Amino acid sequence: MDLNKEYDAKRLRELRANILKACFYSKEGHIPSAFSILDILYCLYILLPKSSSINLKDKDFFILSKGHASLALYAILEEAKVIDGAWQTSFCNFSSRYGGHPDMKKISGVHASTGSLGHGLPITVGKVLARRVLGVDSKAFCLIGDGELNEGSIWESLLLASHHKMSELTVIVDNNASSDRALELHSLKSKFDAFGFNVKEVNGHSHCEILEAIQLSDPNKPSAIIAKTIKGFGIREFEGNPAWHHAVPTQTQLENYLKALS
Amino acid sequence: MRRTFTDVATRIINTNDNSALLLGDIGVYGFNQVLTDFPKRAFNMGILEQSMVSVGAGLSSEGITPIIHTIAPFIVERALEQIKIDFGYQNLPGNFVSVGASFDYAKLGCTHHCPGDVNILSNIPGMNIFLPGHSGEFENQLINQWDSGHLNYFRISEYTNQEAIEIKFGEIKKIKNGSKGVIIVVGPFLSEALNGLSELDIEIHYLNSISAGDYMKVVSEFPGNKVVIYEPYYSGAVLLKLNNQLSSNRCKVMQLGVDKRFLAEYGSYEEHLINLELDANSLKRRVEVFINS
Repeated sequence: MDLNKEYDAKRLRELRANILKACFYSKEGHIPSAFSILDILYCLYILLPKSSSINLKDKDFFILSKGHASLALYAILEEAKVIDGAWQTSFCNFSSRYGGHPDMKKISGVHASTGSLGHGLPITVGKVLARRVLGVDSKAFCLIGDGELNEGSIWESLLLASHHKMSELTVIVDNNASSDRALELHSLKSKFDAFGFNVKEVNGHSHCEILEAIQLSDPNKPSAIIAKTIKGFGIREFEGNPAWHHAVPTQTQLENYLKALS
Repeated sequence: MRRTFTDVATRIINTNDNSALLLGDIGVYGFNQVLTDFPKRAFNMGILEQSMVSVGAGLSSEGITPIIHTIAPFIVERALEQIKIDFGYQNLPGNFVSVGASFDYAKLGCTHHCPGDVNILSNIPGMNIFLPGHSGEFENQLINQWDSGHLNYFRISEYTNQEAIEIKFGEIKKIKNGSKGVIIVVGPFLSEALNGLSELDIEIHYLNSISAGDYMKVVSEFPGNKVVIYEPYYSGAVLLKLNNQLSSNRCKVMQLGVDKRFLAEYGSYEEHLINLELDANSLKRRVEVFINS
C-alpha cells in the first residue's frame, strides 16, 4: 500500500494537538479514548485509496458508538473537510454544535447521536436494513469500545447482524483494554467467530493493517475488525493510564504535551 | 384489539413501502404471511427489546417508519432509554404498539404488568399516547397516525368498551350530561364508568389519546367544581395535561387509577378491578361520596 508515512504521522500529531487544545479550552473531553481511535478513523476517512469502493463522505456511513471519543471524530471530519474547524474553539460551549458526545441533529457527517453505550450498533443495523429496502448499495462501519462490549444490546445486535447476513456491515472494536478492570472479555476473535462474523485482528495503530482489514469483506457475513489499541496513544503519560480517562491537562501539561507532539 | 392490530398493520405493510414491522417474538403467528411476503420490511426480531427499538430508530432515520410490537413492560420499561434517546432525542418518527396494558395478563403476575407505562412515556418530549377503548377506535388511530411523522405509543388492551366512540386525536368528548361534577374517563374504562355512573348526576367525558402538545381542555364551564379522573394505569398523566384549567377553575380533583403497588395477586382482570376498587360498583360508591362531600 502506497502510504506517505512521514506525512501521515505528522498530520496525526497535529490532530492530536488540536484535540488537546480543544479539551484544554473547554475543560472537557475524553482525550485517551479519542487518541485510541484516531488512527482507525484516519484510515477510514483519509487514507483509503481512491480506487476503494468505500466512501464515507458519500454513499457509505460510519457511526461512532462509543460517543465519548467524539473529539477524534470532530478532528477527522475536519481533516476530511466535512466540517470546519469551529469545533476546536467551541467544543462543549453552551451553543456549540460540538458536544462531549456527537449529535446527528447538529453535525453533518454524524449519523447517530451516541453517548449512552450500546446504542450505536443497533442503530447501524437498522440503517442497513433500511438501505436494503431503499435499494441503496452501501457499506456501514460502526466503531464500538471493548468496554461497550459489556452492554447486552451489543451482543443482541451482533446476533441480528449475523442472522441477517449483513455483509454490508463492519464492526470495529477499539480494543484498548478499558474493560479489563471490570470484566475480562477473553478472546474477542473466538466470540465474533462464534457469532458468525468474518473476523480480522489488527494493530489499531498500524495503518497498513487497518486499511487492509477495512477493505476485506465476506459476501455472506458481517465483518469485525478487532483493533488492538492503546488508550491515549501518542502521549506517553496518557497511555494505559486510567487517571486520564476524563481529565483535562493543566497549562503546563498542555505546553509539555504539545512540545512532545511537535 | 390484537386481531385488529394484525389486520391494520398487515394493511399498512402491504400498501406502504416506507413502513416496517418489528415483532418482539409476540403475535408472530398472525403475521406469518406478512413476514413471508415482505422479508425486507417485516421481521420477527427475537426477544431483544433494546436492540429492536434502536434498530427501529435506524430504519426511521433512513425514512422507513417502523411499527414495533411486544408486551408493554418489555418495550416501555426495558427499552425506555432506547425510546428516549434513539427516537425521542433524535426526533425520529415511529410507532410502538404494546399489549398487556396495566394488568391484562393478571394470571401471569407482576413481571407482565405495566401500569406505569403512560406516565413513564409522558416524560419523553414529543411522545403521543393512544389508549383506545375499542378496536374500532384503535383502527382509526393506527391508520391515521402511524405515518404522522411523530413518535406514537398505542396501548392496546384485551378488555374493551362495548362501543367505539368517534373522537379526534387529543380531544376530550362529553358522553353524558350531569350537573354535580365531571368525570374524565380514559380509554377502556368507559364501559365501567357508564355502567357504574348511569344513575348519578355527573357529566362523563372521554378521551383515548394524550397529545404530546399543549394542555388539554375539558369544557369551558364545569358543572360544579368536582372533577374525577378515572385512568386504567397509575394516575397522573391526565391531571398534568389538565392542571392549568382545573386550577384556574378552582376544582377539587379526585384521581382514580391503579394503586402504586405491585399487584402480586393473580386471578382475573375483573378480580383486580374489584381489588383496586376500580370496578363499576366501587366507582359509583367512591364518586358518590366525592361529589356529595
